[in-house]
Amino acid sequence: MKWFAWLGVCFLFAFLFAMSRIQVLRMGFEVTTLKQEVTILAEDVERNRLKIARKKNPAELKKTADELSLRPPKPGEVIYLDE
Amino acid sequence: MNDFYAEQRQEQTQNRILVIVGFLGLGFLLVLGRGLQLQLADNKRLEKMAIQQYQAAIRLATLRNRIMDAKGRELAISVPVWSVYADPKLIRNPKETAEKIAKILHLKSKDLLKLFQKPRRFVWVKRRIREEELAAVDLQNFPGIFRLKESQRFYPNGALAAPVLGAVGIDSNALGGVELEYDSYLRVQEKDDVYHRDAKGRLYLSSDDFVSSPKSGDLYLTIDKNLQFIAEDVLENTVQKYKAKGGVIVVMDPTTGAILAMSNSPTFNPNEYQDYSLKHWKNRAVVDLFEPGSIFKPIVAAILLDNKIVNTRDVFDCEGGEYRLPSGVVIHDAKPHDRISFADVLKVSSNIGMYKASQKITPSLLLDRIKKFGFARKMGIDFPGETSGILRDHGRINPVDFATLSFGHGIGVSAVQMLSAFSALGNHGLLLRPYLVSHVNDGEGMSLYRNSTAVMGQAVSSQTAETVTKLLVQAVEEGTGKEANIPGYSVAGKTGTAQKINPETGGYYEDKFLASFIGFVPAQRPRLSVLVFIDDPQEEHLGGRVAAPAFREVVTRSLPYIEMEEGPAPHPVQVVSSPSPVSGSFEEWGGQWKVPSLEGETMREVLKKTENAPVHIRFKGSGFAQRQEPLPGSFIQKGSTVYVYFEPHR
Repeated sequence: MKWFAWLGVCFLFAFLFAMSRIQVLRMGFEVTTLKQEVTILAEDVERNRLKIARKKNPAELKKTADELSLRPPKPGEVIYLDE
Repeated sequence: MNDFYAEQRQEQTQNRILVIVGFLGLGFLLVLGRGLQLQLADNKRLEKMAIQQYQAAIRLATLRNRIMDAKGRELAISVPVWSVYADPKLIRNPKETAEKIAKILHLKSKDLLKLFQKPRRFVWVKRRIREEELAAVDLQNFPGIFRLKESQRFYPNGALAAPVLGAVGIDSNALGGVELEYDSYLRVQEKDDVYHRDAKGRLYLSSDDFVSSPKSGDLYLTIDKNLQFIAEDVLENTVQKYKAKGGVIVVMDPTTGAILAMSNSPTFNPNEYQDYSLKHWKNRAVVDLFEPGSIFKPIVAAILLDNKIVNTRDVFDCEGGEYRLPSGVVIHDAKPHDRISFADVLKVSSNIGMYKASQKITPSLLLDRIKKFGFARKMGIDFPGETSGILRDHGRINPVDFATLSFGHGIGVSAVQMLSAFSALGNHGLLLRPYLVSHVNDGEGMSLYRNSTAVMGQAVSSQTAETVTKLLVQAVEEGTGKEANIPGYSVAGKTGTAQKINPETGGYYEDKFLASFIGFVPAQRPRLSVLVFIDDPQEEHLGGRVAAPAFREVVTRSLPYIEMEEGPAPHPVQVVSSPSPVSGSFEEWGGQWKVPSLEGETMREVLKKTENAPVHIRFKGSGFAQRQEPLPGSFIQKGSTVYVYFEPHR
């Protein structure tokens, strides 16, 4: 009877150990997947930054401003309003 | 009888078993011996073969951090892109694969076939392909054709500030400009250049293989994108209008030494750098020498006034615009003048008047004082290839050289050197070190490196600077610089028209000029100092006609923008350190360490100066310290590395 109890405990530990290893493995995969997602998102951020920066190219802005008949203020044309 | 045959058969069987066992044993021993030989012997060839099966050393475009302008707007950014490579051993039908891929990637199938027939495990097919090209290649699923992620440098503003930024090559190696100067901060390093192969022989690199260098971060320039655009726009229009060979416009904050804009013509697009010759790459404002001409007169005037050798009311006979020197050389003025005050000499830009005034000072004193303005030495701007300029020693200067020096001939200066010296007149006589990079921040916004205002010396007294400023305001309001006058602002400036040197004859061209204008505004509390150089303008060549209007346009467009950004209140004059702030040892300033000047020191002296500072010192060369990185006056963090370059002679 005593031997059966020991055997049971051993099986339990072995089962728990196996389960924990499986869990670790599964979490490892999840972490890797998340890391890849983070990398992809970070790359998207960089690409979007580039797109925005290109849109803000002063030469392009000037071209658009000229089309809309906009011009920068001349000296004295900047007026400050008190809040 | 039967027993006899039975025994004989048994004996034969045993013999056969023995022979088989013997062969097997021998074979086993051979295998064992070979195994031991392979395991124990130092067989480098086999080791290399094994490594080649699961690793490949490939030079890839590594990641680089961003370059931002003074307001945190991207000037250079790296974005991941895909490249396609082949493993020729795994390609089943090279000819068909070459033809199909060539069609998708717009390549020549013959060239591809040659690549696929090479006895190698890795060949680039095409680098940095477009998304749609990648999708088309993926769709076909060619055996032996794979893709790798790389990084590509983009300059979203095209040619804007290109000679300042520089460019990077296909492998992300810095090729020039601040990309090169600050490469150690910009480069995100890989652990090594080795890629791993998976079970199918494909290469892979996990994200863990990239390690950010501890001092790697985004670089923030002092350049303001909008001011840079204004300077470039004005320069390009002026160069085109006068069909000039090129030009330079530099805009500086005279109270800090920060370069706000630095434009060059010709220039290039760093996104397509390979299409331009090297002359387009050059940052002429830093690496080229100019003979300044009349814009140098305020420097000489300040020296004469500071030494109390002349007074603004002293009268000089300008000889009706033509004067023969004792050596026989004749000097001219653009317009004839007779007896005029020293103040008017500067106002009308009389060469004869300046010559006569400068005869009152000894050559050695004049040369020493010119050096105090930062000439004939590197200013220490954080840009590669800075020229130190040319100035004759007083032992070697002849009377004609001395005469012409008074009106800016016989001296070679860089644009940034000239502007720094001139800005001292608007900054209480304090000469400041010009700089292009403001700071470096890591990904979490922590400061890794910070540049700051560094005073190189007191060029002239504050009082003299103020006097010369008044004379320069007159020169703009009533003298040769009228075209630079801006209603609502007082401009202190000076025109210059210098004949260009003919390198073949050593003399001057009769018909080639360098038109220039230099000034700061508002004169009493300057916010901007601007230098305009126009190289070889056609039809019109006077600085007052060609360069002064360009100056006016730069200022007219820049000042309202600055006021919008920073408000109308003028800068207080900022003196952040004493006139000799960079001597001595490392000093702690609010958690950061201020770098002292190590120039001229021996290694022992450098070690003594740095012994109490928590920084690493790296020596290169031997003898006396000639230059250092970071520059004197910079602020660095604890644990940073200071590189000191030595040469045998002091």
